[in-house]
Amino acid sequence: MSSLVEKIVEDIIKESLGEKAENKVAEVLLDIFHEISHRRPHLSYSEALNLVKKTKIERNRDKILIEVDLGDAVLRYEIYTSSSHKT
Amino acid sequence: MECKTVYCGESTLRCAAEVLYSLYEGAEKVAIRARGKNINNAADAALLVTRVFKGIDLSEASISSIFGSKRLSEITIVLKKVKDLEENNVSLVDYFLEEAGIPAEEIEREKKTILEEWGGDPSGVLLYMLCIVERIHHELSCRENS
Repeated sequence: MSSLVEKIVEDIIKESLGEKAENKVAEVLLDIFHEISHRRPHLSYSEALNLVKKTKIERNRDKILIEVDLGDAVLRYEIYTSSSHKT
Repeated sequence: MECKTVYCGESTLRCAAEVLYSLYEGAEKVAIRARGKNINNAADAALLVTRVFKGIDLSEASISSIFGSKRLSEITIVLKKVKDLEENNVSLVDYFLEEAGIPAEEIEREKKTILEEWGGDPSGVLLYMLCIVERIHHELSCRENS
């Protein structure tokens, strides 16, 4: 993995979520990036947009559920105000 | 025909990603709007979108001026899906490096390093991250506003 690409992704997250950060959300997004970099490093644009479409993001009061279906594995994250769980 | 509006801010890439995702998700037309200093970014985003995929054409473009306490220009660029989207072989890495603040004279060298370290082009992964961060940002904004 390129450290510069990781830096670019960190910047994208920081710029979008803001400095006061939703730190847990930022951590989860970085984890998703690492998993995708490892499992699907050469995503095409169509595959990337299709994966966005298939990524479930649900918000329920103090919980955000993110589910990324990579085909051979599903990354599932539950982010609470107090903690986050990855399965 | 459904026409979605995307407001372009300081990031060409974020705007382009939102337009691409809207068209991919099924919108037939997307209007990009920007004001003042962001007008160039909107034009760049429209160009980028039409470079990344075949099948997206410029439908109309207009510039208007708003006269308030000072004069402000606004651009509207409408892109239309004319056939099924088909990828062009275009790398977005240069654009990501440019937005990351890498000086123009160093972009080629940094790009070469990335392609070597990554073992290919990470543009697809970067596009995914850009879109997903925007979707989550939207969710969080809705939470704050609700």
